[in-house]
Amino acid sequence: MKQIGIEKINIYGCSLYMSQNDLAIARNKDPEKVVKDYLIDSRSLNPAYEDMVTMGVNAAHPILSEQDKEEIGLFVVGTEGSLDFGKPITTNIHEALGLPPNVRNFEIKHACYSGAAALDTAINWIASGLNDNKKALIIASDFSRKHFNKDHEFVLGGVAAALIISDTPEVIEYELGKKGCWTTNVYDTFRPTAFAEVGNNEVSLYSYLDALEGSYLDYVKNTGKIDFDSYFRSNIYHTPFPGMAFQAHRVLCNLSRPRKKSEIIESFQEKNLPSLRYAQRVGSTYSASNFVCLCGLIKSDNDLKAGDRVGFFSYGSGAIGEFYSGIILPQAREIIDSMKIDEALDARRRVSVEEYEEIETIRERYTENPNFTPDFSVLDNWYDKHYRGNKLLVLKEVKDYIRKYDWS
Amino acid sequence: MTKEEIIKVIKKNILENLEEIDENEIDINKSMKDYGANSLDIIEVVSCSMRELKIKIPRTELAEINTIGQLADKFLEHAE
Repeated sequence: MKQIGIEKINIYGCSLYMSQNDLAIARNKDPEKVVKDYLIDSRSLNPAYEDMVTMGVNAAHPILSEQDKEEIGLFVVGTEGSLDFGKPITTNIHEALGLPPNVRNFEIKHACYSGAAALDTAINWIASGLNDNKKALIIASDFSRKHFNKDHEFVLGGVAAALIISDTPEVIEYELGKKGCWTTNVYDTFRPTAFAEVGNNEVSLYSYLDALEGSYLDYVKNTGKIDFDSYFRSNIYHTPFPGMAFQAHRVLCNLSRPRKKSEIIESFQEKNLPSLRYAQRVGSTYSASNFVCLCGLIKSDNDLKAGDRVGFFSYGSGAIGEFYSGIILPQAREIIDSMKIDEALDARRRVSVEEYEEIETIRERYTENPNFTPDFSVLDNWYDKHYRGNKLLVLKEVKDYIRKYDWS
Repeated sequence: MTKEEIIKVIKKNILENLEEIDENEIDINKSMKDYGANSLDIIEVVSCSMRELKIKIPRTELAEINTIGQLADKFLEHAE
């Protein structure tokens, strides 16, 4: 059977961040409890001249050589924050990246599951043998909407991930056929308009855990009897906020063998915590979650080695859960190191709560606005300091709803 | 299993997961949120209680429950 998986991967965690500690103080919450519960240190933010298109391109551009571009035959974006109900953002991204014309491309949606759904589509396309020796480009790109003074204001953020999927993988090989899914119809978190991102926190958390249990049991049914503790070297869970990964790990630990909380904490620290490295710095990871956590795991866990099995859980509100697994490959660490993800996150500008409120208010004002030119002077001319000359894609203007992008 | 036994287990888990609460303060006609619980605290209390009581309920059925007493009633429905 073919070996199929990630050949290259990168994430883009925006160009700004806000400390959770600052937000907790501004909202009269206990900062220590906020950080401990949600395990978020900071959340990503963007100036209004970035959107899901620029984020996706800024994640993908560093991994694509000219030869890679020629070899792409399928390009799928997973997002719940698309900019148009008809035109997919794959078309904008395709143009910006300079991909050749004979590339099948489309955008898919199933809340935060869309990234894993795009990945699964690519894997199956290559496994079918109908890919004509071509590779797939997968991008997951999402960003929160504005939620001032709400409980879930502490679990927001944004990030994009880009992956080349091929039959010459170097980061991780997925175990074909070893997967399980579980779905139900629930209104837990949803986006009924271009402005709203609504739902019920408890419904969403409960639905997430039901989907985890359901998809894991389906995985076990398809894979055969396994011992949860010894079968997976590491576990990656969808992170609407990183703290949720602990709840998820506890459910699977107890499902296999009920145990004390202290034992679960120990297992969590060994098998999951290293994967949260980047999620803790970008906040909510949406469709890019499994990819952001995979990068975090490979970068943080010095004992991780080729041949180790990683279990993944992806969740999409609405709702669906998918459990699947992959095997770490020898070049994984080298490839992640070469992306310099930590350095890129370190280079972001810290914004105050007041600045955050200002840029989020501007961004909302631009939503569904047919004509606007983003202000490039915001945040003390951050564009000049961080973007200019650094080959990042930015939104230049929107005229009659038509979006124009250019390199910085 | 009686409702009283179930309430005892739920209260024990509330005390373990929420700070600065006295058992006698807990009114079963109130929500855990009235005692400062956030969503994560609530799912933690519910998960621990279900495990201890050996009850298995689709969690989404629990989302509409508002008070500790209603939670105990739901557990009682599913108790062996």
